[in-house]
Amino acid sequence: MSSKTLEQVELSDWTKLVTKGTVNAASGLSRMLGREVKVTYFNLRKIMVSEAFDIFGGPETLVVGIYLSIQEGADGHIMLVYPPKIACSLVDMAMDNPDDTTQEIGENEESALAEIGNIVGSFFLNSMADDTGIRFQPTPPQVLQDMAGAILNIALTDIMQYADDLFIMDTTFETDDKKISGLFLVLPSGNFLDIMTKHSDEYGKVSWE
Amino acid sequence: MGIEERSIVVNLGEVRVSKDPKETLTCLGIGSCIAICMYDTERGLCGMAHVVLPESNGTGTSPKYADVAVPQLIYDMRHRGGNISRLTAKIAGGAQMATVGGGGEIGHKNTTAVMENLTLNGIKVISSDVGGHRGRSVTMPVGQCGKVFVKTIGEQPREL
Repeated sequence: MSSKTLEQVELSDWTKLVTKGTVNAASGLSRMLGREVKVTYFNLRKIMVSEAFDIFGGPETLVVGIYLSIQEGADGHIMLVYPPKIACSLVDMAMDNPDDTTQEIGENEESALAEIGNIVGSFFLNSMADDTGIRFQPTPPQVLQDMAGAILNIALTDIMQYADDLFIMDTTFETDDKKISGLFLVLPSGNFLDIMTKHSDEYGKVSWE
Repeated sequence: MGIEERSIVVNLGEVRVSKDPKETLTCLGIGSCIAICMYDTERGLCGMAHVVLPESNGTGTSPKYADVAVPQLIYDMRHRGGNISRLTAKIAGGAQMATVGGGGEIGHKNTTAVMENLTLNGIKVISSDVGGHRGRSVTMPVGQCGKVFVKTIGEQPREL
């Protein structure tokens, strides 16, 4: 397995790609929800793996995660992680419910969250495909409610095969009357960055506006 | 936990040993990872390792790998006075959190690797709580050497 890390791939290239991808994901959400969704906060930063759990108040904190694995084109993980109250708010947005209608995440609510994950993941990867010419294929989304450590672990065990730190994106999606703040993780595995670099070398630099 | 008691969190890829009865070793929110709990009750000695991956393939020295963590934990226990013939283990974790994607098997691989390495090093595993699809927290109060407790979301801790 390649040992390429995000330091070896130009960080600025990756930042531009994920920023554009996140904005495109918001556009997808807008279409799904029938109202404008904007990215009002976006912060890409590098942290140690052990610090990832502190973002939610510790590894035992109950969170709701929407997980997709990237399987075709390259390997990687996409994960949206929210505190339960925010996840309920996201469900209300998706189902066009009055505020505070959803109080817990059951089967119907999981289905709504899975669809959100599907849209966010697909629009994000489509944006990357447009810029790189690589076709990415995500798995169907899986919704989990469990300890933050256990959920984040799904992606972190892969990352820890070759690194002890990772890049995360704190993202806030916002509509006119709702703010959804959480963690949007796009974690490329080693071959993802190899493929991007190879593609960039063969076809010239990734282009974007 | 009282004011004088201390929780020592064993993070991913760490090994910790303690003889202080005021301390509790703990792995929090483990999914596919394995918490190896080892003890020598005669010495009042407890040790915990937080294993993330099954094999280093000879290329790594980090105890995030089972084949590094097990020998290191044994070494650290013996260094603190533990007797190899009395060392006993309990393990927990190895859940399959994701049912999509290629990483779903890592919990099972970690469990197998930990068991194999403990057996290879002559350490008996007397109980385990592994597999399933839920996250766990594992605690080992040094003052109750030999006891290990496992907790999942929404449930009270139970003794392993």
